[in-house]
Amino acid sequence: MDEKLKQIMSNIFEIKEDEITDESSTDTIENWDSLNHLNLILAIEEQFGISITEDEMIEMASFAEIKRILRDKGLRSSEKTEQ
Amino acid sequence: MVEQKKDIEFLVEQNKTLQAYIKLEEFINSHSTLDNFMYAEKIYKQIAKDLNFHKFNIAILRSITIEPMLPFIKVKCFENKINPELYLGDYNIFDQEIVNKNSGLYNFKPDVLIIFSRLEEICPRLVNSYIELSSEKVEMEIKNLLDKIERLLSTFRANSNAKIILHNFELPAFPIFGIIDIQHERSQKRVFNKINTGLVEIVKKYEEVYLLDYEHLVSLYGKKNWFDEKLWFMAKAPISRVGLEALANEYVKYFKAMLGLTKKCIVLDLDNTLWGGILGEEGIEGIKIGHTSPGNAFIDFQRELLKLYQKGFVLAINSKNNEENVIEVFDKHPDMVLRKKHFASIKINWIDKVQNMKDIAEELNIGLDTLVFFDDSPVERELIKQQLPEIHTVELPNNPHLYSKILRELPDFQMLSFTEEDRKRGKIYYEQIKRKKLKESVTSLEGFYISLEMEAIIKRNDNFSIPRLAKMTQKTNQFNLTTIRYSETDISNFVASNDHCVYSLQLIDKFGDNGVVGEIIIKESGDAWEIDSFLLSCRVIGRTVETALLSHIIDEARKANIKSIIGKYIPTSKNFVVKSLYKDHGFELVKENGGTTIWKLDIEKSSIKCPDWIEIIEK
Repeated sequence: MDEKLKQIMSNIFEIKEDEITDESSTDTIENWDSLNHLNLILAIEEQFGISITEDEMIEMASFAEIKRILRDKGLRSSEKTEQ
Repeated sequence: MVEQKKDIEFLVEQNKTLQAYIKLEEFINSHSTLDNFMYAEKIYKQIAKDLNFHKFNIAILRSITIEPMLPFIKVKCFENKINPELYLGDYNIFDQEIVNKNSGLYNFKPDVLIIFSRLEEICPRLVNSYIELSSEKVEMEIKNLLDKIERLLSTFRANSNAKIILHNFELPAFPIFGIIDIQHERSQKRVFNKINTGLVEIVKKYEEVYLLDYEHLVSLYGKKNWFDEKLWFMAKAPISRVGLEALANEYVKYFKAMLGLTKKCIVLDLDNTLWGGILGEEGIEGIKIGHTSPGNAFIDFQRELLKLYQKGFVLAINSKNNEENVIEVFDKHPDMVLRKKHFASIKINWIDKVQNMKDIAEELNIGLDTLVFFDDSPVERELIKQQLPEIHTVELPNNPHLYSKILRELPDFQMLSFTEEDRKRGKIYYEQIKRKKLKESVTSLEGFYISLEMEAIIKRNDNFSIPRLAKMTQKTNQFNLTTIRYSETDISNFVASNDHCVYSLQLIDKFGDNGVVGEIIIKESGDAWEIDSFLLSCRVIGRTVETALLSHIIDEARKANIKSIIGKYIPTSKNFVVKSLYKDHGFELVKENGGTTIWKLDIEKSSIKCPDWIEIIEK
């Protein structure tokens, strides 16, 4: 799950995967604007096959937070996802 | 997946743009997620310059948030050899952009303008307060809405020649009267339908305005699948991930047709493409084509191909097989839908498919970039993709159940107009090629004429031919002695009158019916006949058809005790080919004025007869 998430963020925010840490957030990543946040949510829903609520969407403002929310939804860190 | 991206980036660095392009397309095909589309967009942009794609300026005015759709539009453009520039008008802004001649829209110089507005934004009362409106108020809303849209179109059209794609409106997913809306006298759905019908009438009035059947597209995917509640309420972006890609796909169909990038010909493999199994191994009884799965999937695929043939596209075969075995299948297998006659070019041999492709393109006289290739073998597909990247090689899945679906969803065969001529084209194409082949194989011209087995059906004053005969006078420029243009009314009058006579010639040969291709209009003048018009379609020039028609006229004149036939030649920049026509047929020159020549044939002395190789049938 972490791997996949980093790939998604790398594609959307145009950053290298190894640059992404728990602290990576809307404050630290330049391209993480509201439009790309939309894209991020769409991509996560698509690839993890889940539905994200409005509250969750607002909370998902950092890599750490996204992981937390996805875990709460039952996804495990090392879980492989369908492509 | 990471590996693939690294490979692509490496190829880009190395300036191996064509390979990068191929690899990128494969990558997206197998990993078509939204974020990968965004990734691909950036890579395509980097290599676009080197690939010489068609530049295309796309402007979109919209009443909702559609930014998430842009990567899909761009990537699909690149995949179809289009290099797109996009201009997005601000949220829900239409008038300012269109009315103001100095707006960003006009400064962008679009090639196409997409107008995407929803009733929710452009006419909210019909959506939200429908029940409160009286019928009269509803009629007024409709009228005002249609007028407003027409004003936008006409204003834009006055300022720009760009093509326009106008969305029609989605019918309500939950019409106001619920289960009885469909039959209620104030049905909300019917009102929306009426608006959409009104749009059809409007777009017909303007050049190059295309209505995108948005309602149909949304229905195709399902209104429930198309609408994303969360994104709508949070960002005014109502279209789901699935819908975004579908709509982008739909736009690209228009772009391709507008840029003339639609394909002309599908080249097909045979084994496991047109039928299941390998003919050489399983024999005609063993191949899977019939009424149970998977045979029925192949039949369905053949039917879809046949539909394309009927619309004027060309089919060809490129297969490694023994020709006799294949012919046997075409001739004898009862379940085959496609037969040999549906294919304009057939390459069944053991040489490499690349050479066959080139031969097919040359034979059909079309560019390699107008070919689409279907082959179940990933190896053959890879070969063609590498060697002939201009051909659109379709990624076929292993499962033949999906072949028809994939064919239907290709954006390569859309047309912006469809006429009777298109319908006949596949057949005519096939016949033209056969004629050409025959001509090349026969050593003497006479031999060629004989081999054509020509029949000329000549009719006199035939009412049914009037439209075609009038059109011929308007369109024929080369084989036209006097180039006088007549309307249907004119021809009608000639047919009805006592002193005129209209002859038509329909030519049938070994390959098919060429239709009405010859015309002579006679004016009776005492004991002479004047040839007012003498035309031949350029399709049949060079086959002595004119001699057959003329000889028939002479025979008719003889029977009617006419003494002479007068012919006139009025030169134009295009009809040089008939300058000496009358001379060649034994007429004598009686007068010359400027370049115009007048000729006379003494019937008694004439020895013109119908050529041996043409049979005249009078009707």
